[in-house]
Amino acid sequence: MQQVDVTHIWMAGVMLVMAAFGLIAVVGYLRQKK
Amino acid sequence: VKIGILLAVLAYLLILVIGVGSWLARREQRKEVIEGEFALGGRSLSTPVVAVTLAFSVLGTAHILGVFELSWTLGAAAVWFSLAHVILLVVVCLSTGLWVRRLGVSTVPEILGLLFGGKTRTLVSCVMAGVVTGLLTLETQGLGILTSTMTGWPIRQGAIVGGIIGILYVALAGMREIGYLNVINAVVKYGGLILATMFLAMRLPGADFSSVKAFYIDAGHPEMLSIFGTPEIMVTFALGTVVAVLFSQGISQMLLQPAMGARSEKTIRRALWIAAPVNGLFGVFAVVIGLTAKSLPQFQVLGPKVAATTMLITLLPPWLAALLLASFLTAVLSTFAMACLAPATLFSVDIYKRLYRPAAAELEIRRVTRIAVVVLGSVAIGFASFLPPILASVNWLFSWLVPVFWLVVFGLFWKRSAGVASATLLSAWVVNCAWSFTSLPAMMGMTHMPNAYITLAVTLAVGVGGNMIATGEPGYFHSADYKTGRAGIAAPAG
Repeated sequence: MQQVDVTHIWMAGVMLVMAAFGLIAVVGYLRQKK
Repeated sequence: VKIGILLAVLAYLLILVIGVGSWLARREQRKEVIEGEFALGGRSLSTPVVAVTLAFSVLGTAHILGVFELSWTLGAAAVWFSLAHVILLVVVCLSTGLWVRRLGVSTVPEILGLLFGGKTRTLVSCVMAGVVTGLLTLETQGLGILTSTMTGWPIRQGAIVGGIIGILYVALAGMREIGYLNVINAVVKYGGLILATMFLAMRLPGADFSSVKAFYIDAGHPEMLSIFGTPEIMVTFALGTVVAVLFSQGISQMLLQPAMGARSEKTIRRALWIAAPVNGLFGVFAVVIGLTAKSLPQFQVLGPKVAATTMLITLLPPWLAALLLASFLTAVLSTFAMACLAPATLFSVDIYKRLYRPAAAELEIRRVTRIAVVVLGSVAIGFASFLPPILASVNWLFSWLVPVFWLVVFGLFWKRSAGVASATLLSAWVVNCAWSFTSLPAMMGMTHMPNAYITLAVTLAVGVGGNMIATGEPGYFHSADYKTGRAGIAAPAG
């Protein structure tokens, strides 16, 4: 779906939030393994 | 007039928040409230309560401001956003709602933990938290639009002020109150919107909508008056929205919560006959108002985001304008609050407690949730300033959850393989990214193909193919676990 750039920046922002949650979860798993 | 309306809106908000708050406090004093009574209503909710909650809990920013905005470009076909929710309610009341009631679970990630284990649960929680935060940015935009309508400030500034009020509201009102406020407001909003449509017609030439009809025909766009629009709109928007809404909201916590708390499966099935028509009609009024705003030159110049709300406070009698805006504002505040609390709770319960502090006490979890609310709320205020088109963004967000719906279906009825589940999720999400950010759609000559079609196609290909090849446990409803566990109610959280 091709849209204006503003929407793309917003989409990237949403994915950053997903990534942040994912990163915190991965760190949590790694800490558990130690 | 605007100052008067602003004061009336604030008064309504205060009276409602304080009124419902003290009513709840008194009720709590009178009888002991059992833990989880609000969340699941002690699994004793009756048909009318289930029906009303189902019909009204999804009427937020997208249904009002999103439909106003989109009817500007798509015309009456924007009503498909609302019709998609009718189909959604059919699916919830006849399938997913019944399944969650049968499983005895209380959250959606819990189902995934039950079917595929802890890692899949975490994976889904992270993406779901992002999706709901995305919805939160759109609710913030909604608050900005309403603030802008009442004060004349630009939407961006309105969004900052509105977002701060929203965060305070979450802190003040609390989840239980927000649930009640949402339903009360939806009733006021619904009644107000019908009255507004009637009053609007009286203010138009000839006291009906014939001048609006003439405007679109004269402009050479008669298709904007038909809910079937053009074949292209039907394929890209109407059907795309149905796919996105159905396969993401079909397992949404917000909709399944009343089903989980229903007295029996029969209660849920019966609720459909009230919930579906009540919910579906809402979009019709929203579309009529959106189309009317564009047809009047003095509002057309304001653009799609604020034209309709400005028209309402200009043309309607002040009492009705104030009531309508106040109910819009409280409704958006309530959906803002829910969209803020959901990812914050996912963080504190699914990530912080499970992975960092398994021994954390209730008080600590609550403190972490509160910090997450402030952080996510601030992030949302920041991203809201990009002001993406509301309904297109909602559909994009929903497309992320399409594989989750199908994993639940596969896991309950067919096969449970954690490997296939992860592969399905990751491949659908990677392709979704590529479809959103690269020139892949253009290379395939499918630039207008909605993201939900793509995630659906990848999900079915990888999910069905993978499950045919891989070995796994049988579907949960066919398993020994389920048959022996049926008597012993609640399943443990993964």
